[in-house]
Amino acid sequence: MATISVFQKDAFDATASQSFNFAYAGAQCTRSKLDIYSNEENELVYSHTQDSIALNQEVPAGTLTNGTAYYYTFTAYYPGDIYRLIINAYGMSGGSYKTIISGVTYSFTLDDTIPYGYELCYNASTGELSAVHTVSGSSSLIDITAGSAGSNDVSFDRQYTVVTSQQSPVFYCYSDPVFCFSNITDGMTIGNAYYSPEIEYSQAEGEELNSWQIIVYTYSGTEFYNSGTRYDVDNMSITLNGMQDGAQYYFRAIGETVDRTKLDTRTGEIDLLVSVVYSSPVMHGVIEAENKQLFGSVHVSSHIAAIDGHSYCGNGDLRFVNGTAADLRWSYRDDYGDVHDCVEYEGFEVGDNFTLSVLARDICPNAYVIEMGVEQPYFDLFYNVYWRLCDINGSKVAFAELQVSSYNFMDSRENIILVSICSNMIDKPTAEDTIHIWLRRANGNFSLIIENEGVIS
Amino acid sequence: MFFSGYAFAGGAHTLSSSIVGSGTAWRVCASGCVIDELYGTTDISSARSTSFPEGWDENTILHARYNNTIAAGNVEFYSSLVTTVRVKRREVGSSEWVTIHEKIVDQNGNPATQLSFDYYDYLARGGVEYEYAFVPVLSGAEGDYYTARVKSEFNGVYIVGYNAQFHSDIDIESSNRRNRPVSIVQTINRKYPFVIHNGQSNYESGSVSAMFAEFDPATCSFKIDTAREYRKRLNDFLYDGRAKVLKFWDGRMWLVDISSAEITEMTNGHRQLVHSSFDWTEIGDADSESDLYLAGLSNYRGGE
Repeated sequence: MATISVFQKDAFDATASQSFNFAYAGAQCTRSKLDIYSNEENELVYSHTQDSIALNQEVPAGTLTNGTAYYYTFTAYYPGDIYRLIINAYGMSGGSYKTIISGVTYSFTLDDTIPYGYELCYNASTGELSAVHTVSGSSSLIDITAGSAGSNDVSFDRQYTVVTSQQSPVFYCYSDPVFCFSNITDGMTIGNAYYSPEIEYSQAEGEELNSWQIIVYTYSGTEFYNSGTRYDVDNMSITLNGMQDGAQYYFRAIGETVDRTKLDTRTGEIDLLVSVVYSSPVMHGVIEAENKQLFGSVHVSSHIAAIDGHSYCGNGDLRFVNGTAADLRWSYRDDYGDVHDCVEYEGFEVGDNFTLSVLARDICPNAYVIEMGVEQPYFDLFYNVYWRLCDINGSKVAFAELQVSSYNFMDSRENIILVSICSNMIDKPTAEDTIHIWLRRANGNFSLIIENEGVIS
Repeated sequence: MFFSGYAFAGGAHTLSSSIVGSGTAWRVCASGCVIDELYGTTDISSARSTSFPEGWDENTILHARYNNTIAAGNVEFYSSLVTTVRVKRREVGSSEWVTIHEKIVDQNGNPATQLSFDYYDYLARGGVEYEYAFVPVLSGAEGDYYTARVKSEFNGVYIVGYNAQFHSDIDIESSNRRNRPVSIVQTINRKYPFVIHNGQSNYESGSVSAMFAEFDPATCSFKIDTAREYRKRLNDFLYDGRAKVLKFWDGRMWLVDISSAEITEMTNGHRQLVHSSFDWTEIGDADSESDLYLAGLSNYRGGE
């Protein structure tokens, strides 16, 4: 006795056609019937019989409904040697039949409810049955194959042995989920050796993600990184490091939902191709860990810039405004040249080139917003950015002035102003306007620009 | 002064610089305003923008946001309060941190860089994803954990000592067994004996045989020609009387001492194919802070 079995079916999107499979043990079946039932109501929602030895049936798109659970059965038909002849003879009401066995030629009479003058023949080579007109006196034999027999209808129905599978496990139909990299697009350029690709997942019916994995390949196809299967779906990001400048990498993410829908960002055989060009400086985390495979160790390094800063206030503690700004307006330079109400930072290095940006409000006239001291042999340099207000043709305008002065401590009587440049002019801002003061020294040339950014909440 | 008839350096500022040179910045000061943000970078290629980078890159000099603090670094604590920094690790998924390194902060050092460090963790298991943490200790209490993840992977076997390690990836054979001494006592009037477990001894031991030759990372090959010298250093290392960590690529790792009375070297079909063999006995927990400290493989005592 043949047996057939059905399989656990992964969740799929019912808006696309879907193939259902079964397997058999024993004789080859020549016909199959697929029945799909809704799991909740236990009602038959789809049934289709297929005359084929194929071990699968294709369910058309839109047959099932997303968000619903189903189960299915397969029924296999094994052909027997028994045929049933059905003849709707002219003048007879309804059909009549006679059971026959293949390979045997029968002669029918009216008693056998077959029209007079007809004989049933079986063609062993083609497997076809036909009723042949053998009325004596006729000019020739008349083939009346199934479906047409002149004024009579003749059909043959082969008898089958039927085997039905067990119910399949419940499966689900869900809309295709969104499963992609949220911060990677095909062809994009990464300007860094470090990058944190992140996976985005959502599903209309709320099916949850069970696991995910990120794989990065080099352009030649060798695996550069593999996160392994991860189950923390609240944090679907990894940190890559060591990507080479000028190299290209393929990014791929695979995943599986709780109802076993397989997810893959790969389209066909193609993954997302990303180029790495170091256009921006390497971002430093506070701590970085790198596997040193050739040395059997892990390199742990920190890039900690703990610049505490100091504040000097002539009127009590430094006051913060709304917790987002420091109030340094009560400033003056005392008789010893020391500055009060200021914040000061030290302990870092600046080379030939730098850019300093300040966002500030309510700048006091003639205050030096920025002062930077630079050590040099025999003398120190001071960069002072002053805030100036003046009237031009009756209009009040504001600008910044940079003075670079040298303090020669071999002759400490006075400073020498080496450079004095002024910024662009802007209308005098209100006390609430935020001013961006932008100072750059690039290869010995200075740029000083101010801009009124308006009221920034 | 007069020199060759000329008034050389006669002016007050004759020797002062007439161009603006560069040098080490030692101070930046802001005043006379309500300041919202101060950002400094050595980058001179980017366009003017008020959207300052959130992250900290190699060009960043300082970045102060004045969110109730004037700190301008990339951490939320004041370096002047940090007395010690610790490096910890744990296996991803585990909740138990193990301190693997501790560094006392030099309060007279450069405040901007004195907390930075480079540390090589030679005691990481193979095939394990770790989470490492930088932990500042402020006035005796641990501060925030700054973490990074990495998967530890390597090939072959490593024998790690307090100041050296040896490696082999050729012809490795190893065995290990769990030991728990028992006594079987047979009595006169009883059919079955008693099994007595005296003491708490419960440890592993085993043996390793491999061909040891120094690996040249520049050429990704073994220095076969100098393998003899390498084996001699290995033998001296194995018999230096100190504890070691023996770890294999597949995650097996033990804190061991070499327990064989001899280290054998046998050629195996070719004069350069020399296998060294030795026995080892587990003497502690390779994941225990205190065991590693007592073995001289960690500078952190543990339990603090």
